[in-house]
Amino acid sequence: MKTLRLPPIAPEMKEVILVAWLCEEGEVFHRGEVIYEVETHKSVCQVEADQDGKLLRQLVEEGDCVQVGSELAEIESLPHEA
Amino acid sequence: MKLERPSLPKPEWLKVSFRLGANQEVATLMDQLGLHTVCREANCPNLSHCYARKTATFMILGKFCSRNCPFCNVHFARPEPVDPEEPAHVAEAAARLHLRYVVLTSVTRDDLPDGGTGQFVAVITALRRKDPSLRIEVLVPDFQGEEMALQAVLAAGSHVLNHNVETVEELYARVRPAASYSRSLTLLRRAKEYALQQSSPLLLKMGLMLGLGETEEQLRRLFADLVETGCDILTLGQYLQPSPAHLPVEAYLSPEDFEHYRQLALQAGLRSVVAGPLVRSSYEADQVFSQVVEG
Repeated sequence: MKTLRLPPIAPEMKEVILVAWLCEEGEVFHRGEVIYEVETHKSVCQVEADQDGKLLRQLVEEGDCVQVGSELAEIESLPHEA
Repeated sequence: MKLERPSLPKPEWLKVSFRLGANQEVATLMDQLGLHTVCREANCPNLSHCYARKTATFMILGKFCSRNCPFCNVHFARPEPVDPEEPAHVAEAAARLHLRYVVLTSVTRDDLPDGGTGQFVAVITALRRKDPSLRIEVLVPDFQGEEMALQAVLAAGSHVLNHNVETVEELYARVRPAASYSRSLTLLRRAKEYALQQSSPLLLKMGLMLGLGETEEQLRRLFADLVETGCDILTLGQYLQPSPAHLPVEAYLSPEDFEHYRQLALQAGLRSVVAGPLVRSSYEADQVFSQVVEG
């Protein structure tokens, strides 16, 4: 099991709002697929998965304010499907 | 602390993609060389897109601005001393990113006797020395109307002189209280006169933010003023509020609205108009330049 953490989306912003999960608990995701959306002051960022995996548990809810580096979800890595 | 939500919900067309790691190469290079980009300092929503294309807009003369414009994300603070290594470092970064087209901007440095002109000239010179075939666009402040400052920058040799008028004349007191609409237009006009005197193919470019409360009639007047200065290229983008402490967004214009204003500007006589919610003044500047030059 691995932890999915919030990357630094906008360089000068320490926190953002998680506006939507696009991957539900138990769902498999693939590299390049959007798994969640966060709102910064200037835009809404659709964050793409950087690997194949399965989302085990969401740790924050839609509408939550999230700090850069904090835990978003528990995931399981899956072998990359070409 | 709860992040304050903006008063207007963001429309669908302000969604951008973020891919982990895509930014890293450019970000690391800038950090290694002690350079700043306006992409980062202004929290540009296109940063991920542009850094992934291995391009960026260099912001010289430090990261702190001597003006405190209520729309701008760049930090207002006591500016830093001018870095004598900066020209060589910008040239090095451009070479390592294999840039063929460099956009150079700066914070406004009203505190410096030359307004920062000397550093613009030094950076342009360093870039041209490293690669004489480089195309260079300079996005300059108004240099407080100093004609000699503008001429010095132009004489250093760039292909595009970009200056952001930012908004319509009627909103200047609220949006750009430390600047002057007529001073900005005069800068463009003088740049065109200089280019004609030198038989230089210099292109003039200007950027404008929409969504601050401007009217169509005010925009029509602005487009006419720009045509009169000899401006070639206009960029129109959505104003995005950097934080709750900055000017609020009055309206989010749709892509169709931007197309409408693009057509109006073209009808007014501008040669090239790039318009869209996420368009910024240096967004894909290399492609815009190529389209204009190659017709």
